[in-house]
Amino acid sequence: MLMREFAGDDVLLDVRDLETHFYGEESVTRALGGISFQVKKGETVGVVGESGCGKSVTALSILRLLPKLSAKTVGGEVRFHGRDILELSDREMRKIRGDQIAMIFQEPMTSLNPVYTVGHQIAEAVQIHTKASRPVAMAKAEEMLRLVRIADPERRVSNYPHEMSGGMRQRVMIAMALACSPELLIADEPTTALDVTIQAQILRLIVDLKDRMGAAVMFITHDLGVVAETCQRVIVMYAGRIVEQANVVDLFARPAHPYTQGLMRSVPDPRRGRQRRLPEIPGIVPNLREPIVGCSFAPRCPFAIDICREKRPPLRDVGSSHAAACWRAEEVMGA
Amino acid sequence: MTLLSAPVKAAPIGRLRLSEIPRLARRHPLVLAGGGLLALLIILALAAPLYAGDPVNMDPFKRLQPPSAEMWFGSDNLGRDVFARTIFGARISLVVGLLSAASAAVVGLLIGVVAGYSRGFDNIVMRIMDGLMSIPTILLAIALISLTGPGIGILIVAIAIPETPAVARLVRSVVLGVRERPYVEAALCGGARLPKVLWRHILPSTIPALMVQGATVCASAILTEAGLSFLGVGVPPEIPSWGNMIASSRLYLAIAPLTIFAPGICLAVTVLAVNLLGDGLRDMFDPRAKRRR
Amino acid sequence: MTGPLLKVENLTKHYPLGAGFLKKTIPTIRAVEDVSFTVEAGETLCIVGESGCGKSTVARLLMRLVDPTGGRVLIDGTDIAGLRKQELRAHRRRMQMVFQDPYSSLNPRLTAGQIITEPVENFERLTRKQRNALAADLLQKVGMAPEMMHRLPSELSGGQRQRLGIARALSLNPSLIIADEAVSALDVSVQAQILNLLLDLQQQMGLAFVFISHDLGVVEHIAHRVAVMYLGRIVELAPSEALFAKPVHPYTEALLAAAPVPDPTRVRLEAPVEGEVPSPINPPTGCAFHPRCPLAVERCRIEVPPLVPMADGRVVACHVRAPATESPGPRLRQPNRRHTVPEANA
Repeated sequence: MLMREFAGDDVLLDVRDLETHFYGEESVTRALGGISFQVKKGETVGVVGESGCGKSVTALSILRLLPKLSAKTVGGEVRFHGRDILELSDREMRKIRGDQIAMIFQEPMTSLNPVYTVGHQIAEAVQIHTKASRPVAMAKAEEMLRLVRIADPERRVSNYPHEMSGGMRQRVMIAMALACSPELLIADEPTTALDVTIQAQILRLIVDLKDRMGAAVMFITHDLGVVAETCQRVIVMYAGRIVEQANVVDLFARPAHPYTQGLMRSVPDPRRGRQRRLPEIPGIVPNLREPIVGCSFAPRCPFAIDICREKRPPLRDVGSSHAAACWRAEEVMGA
Repeated sequence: MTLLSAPVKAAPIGRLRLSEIPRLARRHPLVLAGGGLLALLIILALAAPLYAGDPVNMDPFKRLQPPSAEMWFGSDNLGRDVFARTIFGARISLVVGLLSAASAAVVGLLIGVVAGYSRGFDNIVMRIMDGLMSIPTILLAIALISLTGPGIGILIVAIAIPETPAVARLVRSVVLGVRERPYVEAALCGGARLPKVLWRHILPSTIPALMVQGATVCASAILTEAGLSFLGVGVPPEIPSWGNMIASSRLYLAIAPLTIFAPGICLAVTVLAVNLLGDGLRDMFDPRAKRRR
Repeated sequence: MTGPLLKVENLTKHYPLGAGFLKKTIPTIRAVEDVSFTVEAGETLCIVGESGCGKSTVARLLMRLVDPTGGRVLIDGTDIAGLRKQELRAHRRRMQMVFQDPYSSLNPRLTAGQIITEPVENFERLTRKQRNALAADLLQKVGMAPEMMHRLPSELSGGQRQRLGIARALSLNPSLIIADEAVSALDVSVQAQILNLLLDLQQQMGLAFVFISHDLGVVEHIAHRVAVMYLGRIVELAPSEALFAKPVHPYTEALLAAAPVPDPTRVRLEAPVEGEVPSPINPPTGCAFHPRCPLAVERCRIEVPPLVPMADGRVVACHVRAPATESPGPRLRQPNRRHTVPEANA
């Protein structure tokens, strides 16, 4: 339905009505309430939202890396190259992960094995997915370290993760993720744990390498600044649903959902004055353990009217390549 | 301001209330099973004089009798009532188990907290603790008892001493972790004195680990007591204890098996109850350790 | 007017690395090196820098959670670095701290009311009625309902917990609040609420803040003056507008350029600074930034640049942009006495 006119051969990932639940001792949390979006080949899509909005759960659901005992994808499809990967066997899925879809996490230290050298770990990733011999794989590892601009890669291949700084470890993670030339790279808050100057380096690296390798990137972050600098298209999530998606320039110029608008205005911006009160989004996020009637943002929304509290707004087009789930999107864009 | 609209749903939960216990028990069946079994054993042992016969009265004419209405588990080689002796034996096991666990816990807690908080003390005391840990319980008990003569008090001391270092170490590691917590620093910033910081912010965090460790110590103390009594260096032979009973009846296994099985099975059940309780407490305090659906 | 509220002079902290029992020289981490600044009543001084620059250590030194290796911390003229434990307790009342993590900085076993009234109860006995009244008053100040005093931290949201942290800091009526990354762990919308609260409190109570942050957007929003730290030293200290309008130190420049800006139409002109922060165990000689600095000259490798006062009330430690020995003309005039700048040690 939505923006499906663009659907076609260039669609790499097509997520439809994805629904994921988390199970607690006495309750069910509807972490994802049925989300649909597409990622095209070579495209950079940002997924933004605040903690608990479901952005990381989306990534884990797509990769089928949810904790087995406490979470389950209960509905929807994830079509990768037209094939629903939720239907695949675990073995087929493992082949796709890393080979065609790779992932970078926030904390590189926990994703690297402390007892092996980084060269060994990259080479292993190469060997799992290609039939390369050990020396070939090690050479590839060195080449990948050079590619992610680690100085002195000949020496660094034999370093252990703890001998590297946070920024360098994240480069190693990127090298590992890209070693098999994936078609889709999912990066979950890859720079959140890093300092600003290092963050700038890593962001530039990801964008450069993506262009060079022609991979699509799904960039999950809470930082609107990072999205603005790296992404072509943005998906905004709130309470387990997509509330808005648009190309990046439109989104920042004319946000169509009150939540997006509120989020952008609550970021300090000296152009609007220093030491001035920031516009707040009143209230707190809804509890996803309880059923939500109407729009989940309605209790905090300055635009809310009766219908918002009764009927959930569908995601609908409000411009070319701009969609929002709001009954009053047109008024919001005018505000 | 804005947060006034936050949902006021859950009633404010303070600390554990009595009315909470059934709900907790449903969630933690091990605690219920172990705790219940242990409570039952304690009640049976306390109420022993009300229903069990005399455990020390000897009757040479009724040696090694089979079970009867008068003596439910029969009699032993000196004509004593095995049932009564088993029930009264529980008192010894429980007293020794609980008191050794309690004394190891209290002493270990004190040493652990101080060691966790003061660097200088830490170095010296923990080396001493390492030394204590290397003493075998049985040898220490034999040595102490040969000095003072047998008795329950000295037995408890002998069992508690080698168990204390383990408790102290555990408490120390918890304290080392907690003292760096921002809320402890916040208390210091607020002008709290050290004793108050220890009492209010650090001690409570050690309680869960202490209870779990206490259960382990209790179980092993019960077994050690039985072992020492079996060897004849534990409880004085005239006092009925499971270890004594097994020791004195071991020659008559073929004739009067209950004289050994009754105390043996009771011993196993008691240790099982304590261990179940310990495991249950661990799960309860550290939900990550189990995490099921 | 009797001088500044807080005056920090040549504050230094070295951490020995491991016990050097047999070794002759113990390696030390030079966490904070010769840091000086002042804070006036009602003013917000922000300290920015990347991880390992020593900004959090400065906060802990100010609260004397750690003892300094050298230097002085004067609050209203009293040096708290030299105080004994008993006197320190009284002086801590003037300064309170708000912590970064709203989860681990609250004791999970105490109720909100107990948490925020505890500092007062360290100094005086309260009846139950007084305690409840105090808790209600403090909660109201930070925008929470008095009924919340019976809640445990686990029953509150991240923003509410941070409000409790602020209420606890306010309970002793301090004149200065040290906020160590107090909004970094919060979501953007909650961060806005907390920043507003801090600004409101500053206005109502005339509080001064030492606000430590790595987020330049937040700093630019709330700071009156900004100190930029790199590897334990202040490299630039300037009024906020001046600093953000025209950074002088090359590191400040790099930091501002690297911060992502939520504006997709902005084109990034300069390349981000290359390389990483060196280890504080073995910092580079001379200016610590010289290995990454595009402007570095021979002298930067040899000599630590002193903080040199500039015309617009800022001090900068850079041989190239703020040479100490040249142009003795108008620059030497102290432009703004209100913000006492530390002496250049040239």
